[in-house]
Amino acid sequence: MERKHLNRKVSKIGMIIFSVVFVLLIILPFVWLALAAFKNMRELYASPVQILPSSLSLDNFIEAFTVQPMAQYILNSVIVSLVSTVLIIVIGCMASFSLARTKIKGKRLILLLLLTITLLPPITLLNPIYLMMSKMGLLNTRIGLALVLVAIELPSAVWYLMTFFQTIPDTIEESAMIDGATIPQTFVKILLPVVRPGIFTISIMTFINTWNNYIFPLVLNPTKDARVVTVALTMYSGDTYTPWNLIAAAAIVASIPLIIMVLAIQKRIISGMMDGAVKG
Amino acid sequence: MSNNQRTKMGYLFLIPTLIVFLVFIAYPVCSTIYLSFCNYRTQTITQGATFTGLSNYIKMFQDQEMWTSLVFTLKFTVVSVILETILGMLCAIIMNRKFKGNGFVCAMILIPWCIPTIVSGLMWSYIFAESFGVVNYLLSVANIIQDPIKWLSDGNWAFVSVIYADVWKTVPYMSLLLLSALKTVSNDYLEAASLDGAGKARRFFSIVLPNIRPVMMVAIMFRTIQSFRIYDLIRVMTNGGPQGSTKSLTMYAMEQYFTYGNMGYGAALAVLTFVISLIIAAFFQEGVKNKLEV
Amino acid sequence: MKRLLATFLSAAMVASLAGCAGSSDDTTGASADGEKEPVTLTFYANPSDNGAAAKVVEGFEAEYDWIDVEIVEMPSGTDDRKTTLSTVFQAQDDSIDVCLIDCTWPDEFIGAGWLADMSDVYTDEELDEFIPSTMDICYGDDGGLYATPAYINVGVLVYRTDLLEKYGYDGPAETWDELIEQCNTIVAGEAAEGNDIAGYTSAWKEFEGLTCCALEFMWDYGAEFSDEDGNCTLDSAEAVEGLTAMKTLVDDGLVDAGIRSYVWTDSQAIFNSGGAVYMRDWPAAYQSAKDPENSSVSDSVGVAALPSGSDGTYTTNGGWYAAVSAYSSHPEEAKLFAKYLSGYDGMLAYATENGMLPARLDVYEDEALEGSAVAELLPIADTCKNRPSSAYYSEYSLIIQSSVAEILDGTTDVETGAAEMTEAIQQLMDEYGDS
Repeated sequence: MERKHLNRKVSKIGMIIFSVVFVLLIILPFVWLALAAFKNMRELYASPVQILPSSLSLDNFIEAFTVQPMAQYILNSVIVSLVSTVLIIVIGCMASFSLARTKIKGKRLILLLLLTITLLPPITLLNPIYLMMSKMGLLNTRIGLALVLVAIELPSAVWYLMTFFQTIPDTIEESAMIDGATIPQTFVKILLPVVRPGIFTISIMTFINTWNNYIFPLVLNPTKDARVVTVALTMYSGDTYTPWNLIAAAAIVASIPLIIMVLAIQKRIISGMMDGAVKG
Repeated sequence: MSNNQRTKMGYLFLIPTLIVFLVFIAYPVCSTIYLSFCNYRTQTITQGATFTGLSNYIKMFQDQEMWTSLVFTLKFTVVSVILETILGMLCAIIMNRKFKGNGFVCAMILIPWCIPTIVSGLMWSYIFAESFGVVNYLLSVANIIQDPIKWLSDGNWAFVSVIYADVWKTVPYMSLLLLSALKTVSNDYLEAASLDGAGKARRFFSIVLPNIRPVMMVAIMFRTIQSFRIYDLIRVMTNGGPQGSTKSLTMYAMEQYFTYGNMGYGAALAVLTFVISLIIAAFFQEGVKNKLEV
Repeated sequence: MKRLLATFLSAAMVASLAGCAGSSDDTTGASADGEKEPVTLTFYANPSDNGAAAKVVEGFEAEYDWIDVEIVEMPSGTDDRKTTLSTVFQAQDDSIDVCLIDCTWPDEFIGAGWLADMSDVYTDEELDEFIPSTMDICYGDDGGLYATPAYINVGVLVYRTDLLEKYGYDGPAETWDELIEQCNTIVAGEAAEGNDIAGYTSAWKEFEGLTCCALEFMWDYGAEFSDEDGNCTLDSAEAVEGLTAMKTLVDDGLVDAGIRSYVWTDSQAIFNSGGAVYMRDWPAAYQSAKDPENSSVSDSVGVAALPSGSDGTYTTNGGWYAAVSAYSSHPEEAKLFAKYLSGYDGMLAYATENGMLPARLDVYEDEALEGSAVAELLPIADTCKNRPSSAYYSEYSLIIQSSVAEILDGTTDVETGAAEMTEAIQQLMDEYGDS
């Protein structure tokens, strides 16, 4: 008994040490990025390496936001990602419902077809998609970019949402049907609340992925009005010069909306799948 | 409600997805496949695309550079996906525990994913830089190394650095999805098993793992496909060097397509990536298949 | 958005024409301008140029008041810029009127029919004002003028005056042999004082920068990319000699340990933190090394031409050129703007605002540049040489990069590496019928 107790204690301490080291390994690079945002170019590349910046001045942040209208770009990114995430979740939930819970034919084919856009390197899609957007007059618009990103991110959302829809026991839906609810009613009122944690997870995933997309906004939205953050971040560099401190400062500010969103949504994921089922 | 009506509704619900597919995907995919059978390059673009049958594919299989990048890409994919699945699982387990400061730890674990790839690529080349990078500095201060490690200019180390940077960025993705799957595992099962005297490890493998398998399979599938198309990170960190040892298949296709202007051959390389990914996907689909027949 | 703008503009044009017609009696000389229909041009410029492009546009709009120029910044990487431009051109989209293109692209873009001929807006005298070597790459096979330099960029040798003085050298090395000898002395001397320093730093990662550096070494010893018959001659004894000099820097341990993974900004970081005696970089790096904000050696930095080999000294032209899109809906106005960009005022703006070197010698003497680094670099600008001009250049460049990488990493020896490189390039040249 004594020994078992000791063992458990050791394994618990081991787990804590492991977790701390592990989390540190993940955070340290980010800390290094944050420190870079406060240094000037001389301190950044000092030899020997200078760990801490000599002052905590916000000069880099101010400069990063005056050289480029970053606030505008962050807003553009938020709009684009928000629109595409909402569209993807709506379209994706519908599709995954029918793929997971109805007896339609050709499910596997549809799933594989959907994957094709995920399977091709995005470069080959650039030219045709540019041509299309140009013909539709959607170049340099946030909505146009959002639509393209819907096409890019929809397949993975459908695949994941499908697995969540599959986990719902048939009994839940059947009891609703017995009460006389129509299919759209059961879908909205019963099934969606049950898979809510899954939907939140996929929302985070989609939002971050659309936010981080680089090559499509680069080519489709080159003008200032429609530029997004990822593209703008690379534009601090000149032909042969990279002001790493400005990029770090801008990147940190630009990741704040994402972090806020993650924090807000992940609480709802933590609340748990089964809680949702009970509430539903 | 009749089954027939339910099926009809199923088709109806698929319409928006099919519209997105037809508008945005069908044409680009078809045109890429068509181009891969053509000689089409910017230098002679005025003559248009000339159909040359399989010649791009024949050239491709004789192309040493294609094989080198294919081998690298496969190695990269296998190593990075295995690492990020294991580490992602560990993170998900940490995130799933109830302890003080859980929210903070979760947010921290997810941070790397929020940094755009281009920026994290720059960040890693700054961290791994041979003579002013912080990693070499810390290692030398701790007296672990005498000479700087050539993190980016030695083939083997470059592989390690690129893998590390990629895993750092994608573990959050894995852990978020695995966490959402872990949440579906009912505590009742676990408690029942624990009363039966099942150890932690046995509970994990016999109860948790089977329950999260569908999500895990889909996550691994998408990560495999995505790693197989790795491009941005490598371009910023090593640009495929040293001596092409970290050049990925997508990077090679991109180089052919845009840098060389050889769009026909670039398209053929893209189709190769496509076919290999399709095989990967089909392989994983077997894993979720039983669920599909419901 | 653009379409909307166009509608607005044409509406405005109708209104202004109506206005002109009504008041045509009291307008005199200015009427010529007043009757011009307002035009908006889109100019795809390079980003982070310290407002140089904006200044050019300001000057241009003051001179041609019916033309508005909207600047669209291209991405920062050269490859990303090419991706952006070629996507737009392939769609035959009119969203570009004027753009800046890298000096290695004209052949490929001309061949694709993406650029408009500008020869009708230039007289022969005007063309003579450019530095002749910068103009070789601007013409198509049909003799048309498809690009003109907006600014040039040349390789320079930046050095530490204090270290050279400390070891009793009167000035920077003039030949590569001298540079190697000086570096050996200084590196050994500093190492004895416990000071770990590199002799030479540059950007030798496998990217375009490595091609530039390698070509300079080979040119310096008299090698040429190809002979009159269009055969690749990078395996000549001269080329081998050049590459051997390059390799010696590595073998003697004179280069920074990480040089093979550095791009320009990394190399500048080494130099600016006092980690190197010499640096081969671009003029912007010299300006940054002299800036105390960036550099801890700011008060002991000098600049010189690159060292010579047995044949002299050559430096790569890294310029950006003005070109007009073949799909522009306002080709006449676009050509006017491109000409202004490559004119005296355009080049002066790039020189004063962003320290870029003009491609016309007379601009260097402008009083606005007196005492500036740009004026200091005039003698070097005159020695610039173009990378091989070919529509397939980027493919040759990649071969040069990987072969030189193998040589520098010691995977192969210089002769074999040079021979393999030449063979690979020759094979492509034959396949493409390129000479």
